[in-house]
Amino acid sequence: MVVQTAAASMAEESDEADGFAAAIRRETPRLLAIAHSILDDAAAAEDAVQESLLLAWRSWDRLRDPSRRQAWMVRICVRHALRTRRLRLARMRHEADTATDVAELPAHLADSPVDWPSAWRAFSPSQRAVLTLHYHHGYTLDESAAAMGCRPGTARRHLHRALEKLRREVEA
Amino acid sequence: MNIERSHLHDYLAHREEMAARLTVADRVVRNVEARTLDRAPGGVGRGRMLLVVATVAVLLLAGIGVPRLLLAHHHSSGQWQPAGPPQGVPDRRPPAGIALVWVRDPASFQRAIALDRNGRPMGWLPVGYMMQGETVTQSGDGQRIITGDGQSYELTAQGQRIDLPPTALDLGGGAYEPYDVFFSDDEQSVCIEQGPWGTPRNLVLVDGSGHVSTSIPEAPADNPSWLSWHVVTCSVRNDVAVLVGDPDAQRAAGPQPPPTQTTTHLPNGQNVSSIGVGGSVSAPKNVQVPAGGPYHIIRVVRLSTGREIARRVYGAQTPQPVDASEDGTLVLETLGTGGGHVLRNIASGAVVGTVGPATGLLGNTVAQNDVWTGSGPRSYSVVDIPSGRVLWSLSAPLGLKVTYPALDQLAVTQVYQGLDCPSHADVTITDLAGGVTHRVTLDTCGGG
Repeated sequence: MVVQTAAASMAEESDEADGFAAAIRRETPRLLAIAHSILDDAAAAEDAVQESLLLAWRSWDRLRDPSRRQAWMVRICVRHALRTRRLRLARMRHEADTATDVAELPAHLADSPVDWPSAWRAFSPSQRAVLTLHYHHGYTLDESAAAMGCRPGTARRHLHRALEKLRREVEA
Repeated sequence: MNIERSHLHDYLAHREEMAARLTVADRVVRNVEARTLDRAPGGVGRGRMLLVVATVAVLLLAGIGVPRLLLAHHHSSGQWQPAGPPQGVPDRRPPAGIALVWVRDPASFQRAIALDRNGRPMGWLPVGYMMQGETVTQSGDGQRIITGDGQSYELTAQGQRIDLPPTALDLGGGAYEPYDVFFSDDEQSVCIEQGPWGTPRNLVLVDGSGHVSTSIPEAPADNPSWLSWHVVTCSVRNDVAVLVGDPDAQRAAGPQPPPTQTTTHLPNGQNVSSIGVGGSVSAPKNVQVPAGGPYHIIRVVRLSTGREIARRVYGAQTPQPVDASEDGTLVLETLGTGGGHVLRNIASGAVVGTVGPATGLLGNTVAQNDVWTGSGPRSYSVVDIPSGRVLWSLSAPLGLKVTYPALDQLAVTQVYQGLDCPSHADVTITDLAGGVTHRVTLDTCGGG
């Protein structure tokens, strides 16, 4: 009886583990892109995604609806990135990031009245999150707010302020 | 569509393309797999799960019944022993006068647990709201923590609440944008970078009673429109704060004039000026910084008066300041891609040591020649400054958070958070000498 229980448990574990392994291989690049967008720091993004995935693993077997796992992982990652405190170590500049960002900017963006890399760094993490989720990943503002763990009105306010900043820079 | 939105779409696509080129995705997957795939979901290892199953079977056979089991382990010098708080432990203040390390109670996100230096739970303190972060912001000796939902406040280890001036921007509707709030090196004063990023904000110092003892503008007096500063050190003991200017954010905030003069006021009364050539302080003379940039600037100011006592300017292609020591005497400068860092005495300009790449300063140790360094959240070392020799180091497991509760102690903390079930807290406390490591694992799955 005990042996059967253990075997059945192991089989379920194996299925869950296989599902998790496939999920992290599929989702990690996207989660890295989102975290990098919010944190603007490759090392911090790497840490945030790793920690998010470990958090996801902790509750992986409790989320019975596999179709919700993708959105769930994004939500964990976004919230984790937003919670990442601005530690001193996170303030270290990663020159490669900056260099790549500027050097390979498409021509029409390089000629834009907006200095995009600088403008992006001037956004708050919450503003970066709502811009990324809403404008790039197609989330509605309500969905963005849910992913960020804030009220829809707050997400709208973040978006409004971010666009105001951009507008001022274009006008300047 | 407006140009800013059209270009915003393009820029976000560009960012994703850049992120896709990051070579870390495979490493992340490997690391996570290494931490998870030999374990069952939920964080229990297979071997341990089998052990639990067998234990339950034995208990059933023995007719003992299955009480709700809470497993907790205490590790000291290689010996694992049962420890940790039982489920439903009542609130309890820790004994006065002992150094503490605080972690969020995994059984209740509304409480914090105080551990002593041996990792033994000594107190359970209600904080009055659902704590969100993984770690608790605490003073070095653990006699105070900063907590709060939205606006923060202090709690002493004995549960006394000390209100603080505003620590977040109230966005309305119950939403807040938090400012940076942290303890100074005297164990009781609190430093607050008050104001949203990109606005004229102040560094506010709050004394142990919650009263504002000083409030100084972060922007320099000779260029008050230069708003993009981070406080990296706030030392009450030495009456200094170290601020680093961010030229990229400065440019994004709008064109601002560069500093017209860069002056270092040495303690002996001599004034020297510098431009960022190798990050060195040059002979006394006034130097006009040419337009353009970007510039990285580090400024040392008196906390009590706001008076600037030193400034260094780094040009675009020269070493850049990335960190400063706890006492405000040392700055860590990059040497370029992959080249490591140099430690420089801010006041004298002298290079006092070198450390490896991807390293940050965590603080000075009791021995003034030593310095804590950290390489990301994974490796921590005590380095002898003159020789660069690593005296002692700790390789922390992936993803752990570090607090630095005292000069001679390091705590590594992680609280795992599930969706519905807060499940796991893991604390490692290591003495500087490196000889003793205490590890506490609190496993529980209870209501909040």
